[in-house]
Amino acid sequence: MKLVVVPKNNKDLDKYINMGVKTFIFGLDGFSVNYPVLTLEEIKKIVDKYKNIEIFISINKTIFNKDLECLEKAMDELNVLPIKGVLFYDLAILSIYSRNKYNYSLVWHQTHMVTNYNTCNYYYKKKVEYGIISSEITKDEILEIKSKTKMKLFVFLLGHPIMAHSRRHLLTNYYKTLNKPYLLEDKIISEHDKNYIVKENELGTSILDGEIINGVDFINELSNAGIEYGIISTTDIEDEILDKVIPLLNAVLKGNDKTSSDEIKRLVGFNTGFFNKKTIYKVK
Amino acid sequence: MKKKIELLSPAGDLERLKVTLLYGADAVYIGGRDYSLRANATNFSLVEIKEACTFAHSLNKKVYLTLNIVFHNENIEGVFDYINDVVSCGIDAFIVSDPFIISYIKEHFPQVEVHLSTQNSTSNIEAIKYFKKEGVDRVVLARELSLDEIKEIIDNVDMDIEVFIHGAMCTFYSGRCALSNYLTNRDSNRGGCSQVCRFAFKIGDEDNLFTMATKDLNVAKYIPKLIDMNVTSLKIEGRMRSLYYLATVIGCYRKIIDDYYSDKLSSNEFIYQEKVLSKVANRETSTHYLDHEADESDQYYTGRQEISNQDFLGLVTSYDKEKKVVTLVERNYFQVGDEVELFTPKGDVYSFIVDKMYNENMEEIEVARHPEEVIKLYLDGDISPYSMLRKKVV
Repeated sequence: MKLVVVPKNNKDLDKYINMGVKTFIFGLDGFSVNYPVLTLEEIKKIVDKYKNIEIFISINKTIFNKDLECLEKAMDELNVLPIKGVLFYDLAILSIYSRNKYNYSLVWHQTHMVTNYNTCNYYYKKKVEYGIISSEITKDEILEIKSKTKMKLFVFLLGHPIMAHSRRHLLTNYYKTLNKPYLLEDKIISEHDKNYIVKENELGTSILDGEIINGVDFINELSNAGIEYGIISTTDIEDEILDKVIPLLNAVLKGNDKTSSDEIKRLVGFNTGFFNKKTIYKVK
Repeated sequence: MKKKIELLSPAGDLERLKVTLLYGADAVYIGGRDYSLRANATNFSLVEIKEACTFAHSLNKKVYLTLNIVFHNENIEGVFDYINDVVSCGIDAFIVSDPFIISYIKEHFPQVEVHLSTQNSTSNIEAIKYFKKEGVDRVVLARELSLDEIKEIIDNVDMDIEVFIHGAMCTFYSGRCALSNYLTNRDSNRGGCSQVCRFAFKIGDEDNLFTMATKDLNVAKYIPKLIDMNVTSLKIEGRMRSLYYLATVIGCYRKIIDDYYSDKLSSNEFIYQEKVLSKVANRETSTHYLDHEADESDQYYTGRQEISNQDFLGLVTSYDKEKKVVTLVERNYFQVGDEVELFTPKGDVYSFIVDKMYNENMEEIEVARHPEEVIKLYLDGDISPYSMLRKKVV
């Protein structure tokens, strides 16, 4: 398994490369939600400067008619860059991809919908080479998917997972109602002593879990099952912690399990999200 | 000649299905016992699906089955057998979101339509073209689109388009919300949504709580425009809504649509129908994205604001034409002297003051105070079972 970092910005790349990370995900400015965004120019500079890393670009916003022309242009422009793949949510991207012969691969990234092997196989047949497994399924479900699909898979290993995304400007609207100023800063909301992070920008509002998911206990089992990539999202985690956690995760992958995982748990807690917790949907 | 727009109603059980069809829905969407996004609604067994299809087809109307969960591995086994069974019940279309289901249905049952669920939040021409190639017959559009965006889509794709016109709204893009999973361990994309967007949260040091709850959707005023734009189907939300709510809402939209087609939609009539719609609502309503970028006027920011509705007074079970006696079962308190209306599946409304009423033994009574109590009234009209008595709309 390769560790993939979603950095806070492009300035952190050298640091993570020095930690042994060789795969990164960025968002494309204007087309991405919940990823640090770069312009095409900035992406070009990165791929020019760093020859031995894999760059995936997220185009995961919901697409509207007015976006289509720019979207296809951006997909064309990405094609001349040596990026590894494009993450997509909206099927407009697959539609455009299907009629163009792009060099990069596609990554199925419908946040909460990558949940079964049949749909992975469906997209794989459509030439979608990769998928990012939803954070809301169990480790056993992930392993079953892996055993029944040829799609290359990413699993969200560590970070604050995205819980929801809206086109609405929920914080702006709230403060307008209260006649108070709002300067697009993130907010913490809480319910029953649990915190959640609310982020708003021009594309809408996202809610993230306030607790960090820590998949360190599952990393080797997932790796041994052939899961290709493990994602670390740096969003809202202090650099001081990340600087320790990422090398420790690498150490766990190399077999130094016990000491390193204990230290990771001490640093980020041991919330295992849904890795060992099945959701229910029918109340008997 | 242009096909008349379809009025599509939800139904949580067989009785509600029959009532909505009688009140004017052209088609009904229902959930089976599995694979539907309202896992905790009553939902339909295979026997009931068959009865639903037989009943609807006898009226030359249609039944669509929601199969729109986002599948997990454990849901896959059995789904193809289930589809086969439902097809043999006579279903007219499946509403799906997971694409592997689309290809199975189109390959094995090309005569059955596939409608792409709003769970996919389909919002642009290019994505619809993709699904057209996959064999999808109809797309239920994302609820985040404006009238202009909908029109642009219809003008540029050869696809039947369905638009939500009334009922509860999601705060987040459909399919892009797992709040329920994280806060209550219920899987929103498999029908377990616990409506976390209606919870109240503390935010920073603010005294006022933060909710993400939206007002309901009501775009009655845009029905003529949606018809003129060649929308295929107008969808009402609410498989868990009551018989009274559905009868009222479907009746209102039936009237608006029919009057518009026959050039009889007067502003007075429209105002009246809007009043009726607002009386049955338990939340405030808005047109949301259809005519503006959703803003603070579409949200609730001070906790729950739901109104309990006690306008529904009784459900008619029979009518003796000769004696002109209406028999109904009481739903909410009413008494002699109250101004009421009896509305029928055909769309007729009889307004009157209750001057006398009787119990089931035809003994005169002053007050109907017990739910399920049998009440009899004298009334002359074209009245049928499933007519309903409500407080007068003023």
